[in-house]
Amino acid sequence: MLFNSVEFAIFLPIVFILYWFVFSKHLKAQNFLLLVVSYLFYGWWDWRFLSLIIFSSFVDYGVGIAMHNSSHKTRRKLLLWVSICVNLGFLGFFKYFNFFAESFAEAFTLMGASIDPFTLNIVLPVGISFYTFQTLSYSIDIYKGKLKPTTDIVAFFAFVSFFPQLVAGPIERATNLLPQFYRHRIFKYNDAVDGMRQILWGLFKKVVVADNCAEYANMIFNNYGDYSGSTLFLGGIFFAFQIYGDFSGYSDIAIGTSRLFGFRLMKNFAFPYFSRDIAEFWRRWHISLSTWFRDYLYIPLGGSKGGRNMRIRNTFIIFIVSGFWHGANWTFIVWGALNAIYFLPLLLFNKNRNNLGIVAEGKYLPSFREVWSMSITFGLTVIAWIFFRAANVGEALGYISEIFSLSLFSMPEVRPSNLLLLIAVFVLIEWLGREREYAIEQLLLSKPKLLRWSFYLILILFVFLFQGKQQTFIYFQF
Amino acid sequence: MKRFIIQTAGFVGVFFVLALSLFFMTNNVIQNKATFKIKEDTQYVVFGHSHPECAYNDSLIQDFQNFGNSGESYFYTQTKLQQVLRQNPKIETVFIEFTNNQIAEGRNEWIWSDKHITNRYPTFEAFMEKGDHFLLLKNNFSGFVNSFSLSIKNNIGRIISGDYNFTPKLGGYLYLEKNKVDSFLMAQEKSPATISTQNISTLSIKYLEKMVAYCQSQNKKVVLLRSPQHSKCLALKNEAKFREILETKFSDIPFLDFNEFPTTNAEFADLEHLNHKGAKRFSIWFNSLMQQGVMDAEDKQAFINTRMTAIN
Repeated sequence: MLFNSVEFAIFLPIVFILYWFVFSKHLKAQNFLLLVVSYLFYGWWDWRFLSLIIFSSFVDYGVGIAMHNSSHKTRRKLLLWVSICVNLGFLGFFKYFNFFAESFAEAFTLMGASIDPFTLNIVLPVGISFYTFQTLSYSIDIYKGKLKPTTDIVAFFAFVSFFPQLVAGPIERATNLLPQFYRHRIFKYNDAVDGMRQILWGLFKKVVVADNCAEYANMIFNNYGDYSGSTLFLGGIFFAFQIYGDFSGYSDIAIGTSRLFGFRLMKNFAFPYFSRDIAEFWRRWHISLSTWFRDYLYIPLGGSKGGRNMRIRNTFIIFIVSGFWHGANWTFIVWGALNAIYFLPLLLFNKNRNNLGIVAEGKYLPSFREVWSMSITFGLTVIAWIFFRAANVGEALGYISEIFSLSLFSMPEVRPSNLLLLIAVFVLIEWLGREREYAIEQLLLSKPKLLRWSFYLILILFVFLFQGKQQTFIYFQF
Repeated sequence: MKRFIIQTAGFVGVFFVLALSLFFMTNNVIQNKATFKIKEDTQYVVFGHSHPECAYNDSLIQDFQNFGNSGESYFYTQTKLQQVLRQNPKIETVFIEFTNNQIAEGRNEWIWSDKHITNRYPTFEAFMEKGDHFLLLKNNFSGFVNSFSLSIKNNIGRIISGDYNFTPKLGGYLYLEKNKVDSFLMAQEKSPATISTQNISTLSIKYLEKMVAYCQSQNKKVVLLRSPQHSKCLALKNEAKFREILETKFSDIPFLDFNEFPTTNAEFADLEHLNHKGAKRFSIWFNSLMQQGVMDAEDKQAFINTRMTAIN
């Protein structure tokens, strides 16, 4: 079920009413309801893949308890490996099998021995990269002694499959989300209203900003040979806003929906395009994934504590793995490696923590220096996004080489003035709200109700008018 | 909780009122200003799906305009036909494609599947009858809501730009370069496909009847015709059912059958559509047929058959 669909618009109020009116007296009943509706939400897409979630949940539930009950170090390690193998095994099979088979065959071809790759017609289960990471973190945290396993099977299964964040995150840690299933939840008016506002903003980002940008980004990327460098650069910018609106919009809807049910999910985006360097960008983009890799990969590898070579190695590993997590294609690996290259100078010169605060905090306008550093960071990000969007590395290189030609200084052939105006207004609203959890959190709150409602009505009307040709969320494919 | 529900319901209510007001207001403007004008000297028009769209090169046929449109079901054609006839009183004869695949049950999908509803509803909704809206709503609720919002957006766009000309949206001759008959025949030989020959779309037939009745009420000559198809075309398997419907439902309407128009494989794009070569030869021949007075002939099909045999 898509958040931007009519089905969800019917599903959400029904679940809300059942949750707060019918099942509100018993915590277990509420959790059970969440579990059932989460499976319904997921099964709406393809019920067959529910078995994967259920199996994965069973394994991690059992592994968690068994690990806790065992004091034998080897046995605990073995149990952890069971969890890792099951979760990454599913992920590897469904997401990466064909990629490895084809790459293997290509490698043989390069060596002069041609072989036919054995590939399978596999459907990638929606959200598999998200929920496998979520359950993995549960087992790892128990292994490390950071978390006690739950014996409440319903709460655990509901935690794994919690519908607002099941298919595209934020990737929650058991330490944050699971305890919320144990606590009695009470309805809070302010949280619910805030949640609705965040859902509205998320929908606006997805349906109005991302989907409109997608139309032009697709047109330019799919026919990149026909356009000048300036148009291609514009195409890159459109894609940058498409992916931001799409993914951060999804996160906003997920967080807002959770708040309607009394849950708090972690923040996933913090206005990344206002970053002054790449390190800051990665602290603000897909925070739940970046911190997951930091805690479960980068730090175990030694983090930035070792010598220079170790730091370089760890940086490349984390960025390349992060790229590969996004998809089984060399383009994602190059995208990750390119970001590592952007990041490395900052790390080596100890400048990666220079910009920890919010840009121009407490001010309306940034300084010239801040504008310059934000523009450079955004430009670098756009170049990297080209690899992310392109069908293959050759196409990305062709696209980029055309950007860096003389035609970059020509007038773009594609100039959608309405879309550019929309992006400008969107950036302005995001700028004004950059010190908040999401851009419109406090916008017009001190103004009369009529003005506030008019603003929200304009937003929802835009969402309604643009939702006709709905597109799925990009991150569903990951 | 109560306050939250009341406020949310109030907000949703205001939004619905606003959306519906926009819908009715923009529709009203469109209904009053829309133009479906075609060339003054056009006397003959053809409506239907991709078969006539690819068969009648109207630049080669005198006083004739092709309104065929790929994947268009009779449901949408009837709205289009009514508007065209209303605004072009000089049209004398209306040809409507009636062929084997148009009676198949699968044609209902052409009415309300997501793809078709989002493509066609926003264009024609302002001119549809109440029952037509409800039919779509009943059969594809989410598709209808999506198309409903698209319609308002399109209408606002038209009003802002002052573009009320619907004629370019009505279809027209489609020039097909390709010729993939051989590969289709090979594929068919490799894995013979089957179709249901009994299940039919009663809705399609109902809307065809509505179109015929409307033309008659406007004192227009209405003629059903069947464009050339390849003899191996799968849809021909329901020929018996097709004939039965033709005889029971449309026995008093002239039917011009060009199914057996002599063609070579090179003149087809695929097994159902003529390519530009086939369309050129067929259109020139069709023009001569019209000049020779097929419309005045008592036994029109005999008139056609004689001339088709003469080609051989």
